[in-house]
Amino acid sequence: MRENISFINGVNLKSKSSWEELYSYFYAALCNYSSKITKDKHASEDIVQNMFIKLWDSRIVFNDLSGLTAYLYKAVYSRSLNFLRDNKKSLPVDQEAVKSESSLEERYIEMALEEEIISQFYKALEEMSPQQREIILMTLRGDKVDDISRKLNISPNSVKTQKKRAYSFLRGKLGSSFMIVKLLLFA
Amino acid sequence: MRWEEIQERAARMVGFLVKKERIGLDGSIEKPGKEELYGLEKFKDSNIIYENLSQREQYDYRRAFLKLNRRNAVRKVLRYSAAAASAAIFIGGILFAGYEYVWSPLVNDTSVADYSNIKPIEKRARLILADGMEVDIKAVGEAVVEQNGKKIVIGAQGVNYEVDSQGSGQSKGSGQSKESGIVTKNIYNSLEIPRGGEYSLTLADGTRVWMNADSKLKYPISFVEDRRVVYLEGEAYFEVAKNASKPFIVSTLSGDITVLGTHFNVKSYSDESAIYTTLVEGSVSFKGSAGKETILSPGEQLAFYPAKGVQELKQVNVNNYVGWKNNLFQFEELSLEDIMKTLARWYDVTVSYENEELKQLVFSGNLDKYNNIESFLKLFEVGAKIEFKVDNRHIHIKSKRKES
Repeated sequence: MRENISFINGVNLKSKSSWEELYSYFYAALCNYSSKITKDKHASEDIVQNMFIKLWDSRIVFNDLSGLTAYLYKAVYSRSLNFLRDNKKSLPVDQEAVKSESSLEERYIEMALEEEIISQFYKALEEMSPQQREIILMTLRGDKVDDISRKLNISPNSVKTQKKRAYSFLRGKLGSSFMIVKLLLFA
Repeated sequence: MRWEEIQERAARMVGFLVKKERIGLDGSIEKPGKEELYGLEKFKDSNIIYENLSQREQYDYRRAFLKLNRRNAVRKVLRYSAAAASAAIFIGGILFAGYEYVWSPLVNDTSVADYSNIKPIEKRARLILADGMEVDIKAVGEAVVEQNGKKIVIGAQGVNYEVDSQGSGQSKGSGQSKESGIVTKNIYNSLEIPRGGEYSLTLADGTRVWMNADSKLKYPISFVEDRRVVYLEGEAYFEVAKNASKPFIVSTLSGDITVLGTHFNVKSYSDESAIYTTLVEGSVSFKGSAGKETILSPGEQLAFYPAKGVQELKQVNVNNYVGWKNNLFQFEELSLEDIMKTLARWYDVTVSYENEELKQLVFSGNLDKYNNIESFLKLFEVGAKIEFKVDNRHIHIKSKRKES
């Protein structure tokens, strides 16, 4: 997501290129998120698009990526619940957390976190070679070096080398663009 | 957890997700906490990332983004056409015709309201940031941009740069802005005003600038050098903040104006034969490309004709030359040609004449510049025997045939 400040500025100023980036990064993730609440693919696309339109017409300004991310997920969350209400669909009830509204919200924040983790992870993967990406994804799926070696038809040693390279690439990548360094210092 | 924590937490966990692998990434002090380990397990034990990514594939962000753009384009057209008397007729057409091309049917129909396409001057501008990003200010509202540690506030009243702190190296807000204060080279932004637009801005030294239509100003976001130099094409009125140790220089294609702190107007359009510097108060010196330097006193106007290398200094009623800044179009014994040059820039129209003599008709007047052009032109028609034929955004001026 380029340089964070420049991207956030662009979103605030309704720059076309920044908004395209905004869509590319968040659109599918938000739709996926919404459809987990509404169980309705088409409705979730409408919900997300309407949310973006409202944002475009508004004068809302974000200070940073955290604020922007929070706004988007929260807006989609409440629009999704409204959709369920308006369409007389059953509202989600959580077995463990029937107690209060806030714990329901808490659960949906966690779901949003899941989506965001995958977005960030995918963003980093997108920038490596297809083979490295493949190896990382297979590893995450639980495949062992031998499995990967067989499936991709390359030697176990080069699987290991590629893995190492991919990881160090990701570390560098995530370090710079996602402020990991800063976060680690304060953790 | 709060919504605001999502982004940073995700960043942390993705970091762990990568580091935790048995690749032998030793020496890392950082270990995920219990809660995070629990969260990460979810991603380890199943192919949840695979699944999620394939679910996302059914959502096409490009299509959605295109839809947003089209919707914005349609709204623009509807806004413009709402002003036209014939709007209602065309709304149906707009819905069918689509987006970008909707303008043309509206435009071609001049039978209902001739003047509908000519809009009075508006506050609008394009801001070009140092990194090349362009911001269409009219579309914005109010926003704060940060560039190289410097705050830029964009609002209805103008573009305002956070004023440089006094004394070098001293940044206000005690250590809040870590980057500021170490800038040693000028970083430039530009403000471009289209025809039909106007805007104002406050520079980092506190100098205020009113920009007229069809003008461009390039300026540093912070004045770090020993001279404050800005580059002007077109017309602007300056109220320069006093700073005796750093002269303020307005550089134009055909000459530079040096000031220490004063109020003055510079008119330097490429389609005019001269550059005009009009001094309201204080003192400025003009040095043309021909080399001669002239010092102006308040109430004086210097016209420099670069082609001939000639300077003309005269006493003027400054209100006639700076009135535009106060939303007035004030003129005394001005030729129709010169009047129409100004109107063409303000209303973004082109002008042609039936014959050369018409250009030399002379007028005096005092008009509100936000009026629609129709009421403007009516005044001229009454006074002189001329009439205006308006076709879309073009005005043709001809002698009135019938005596009345």
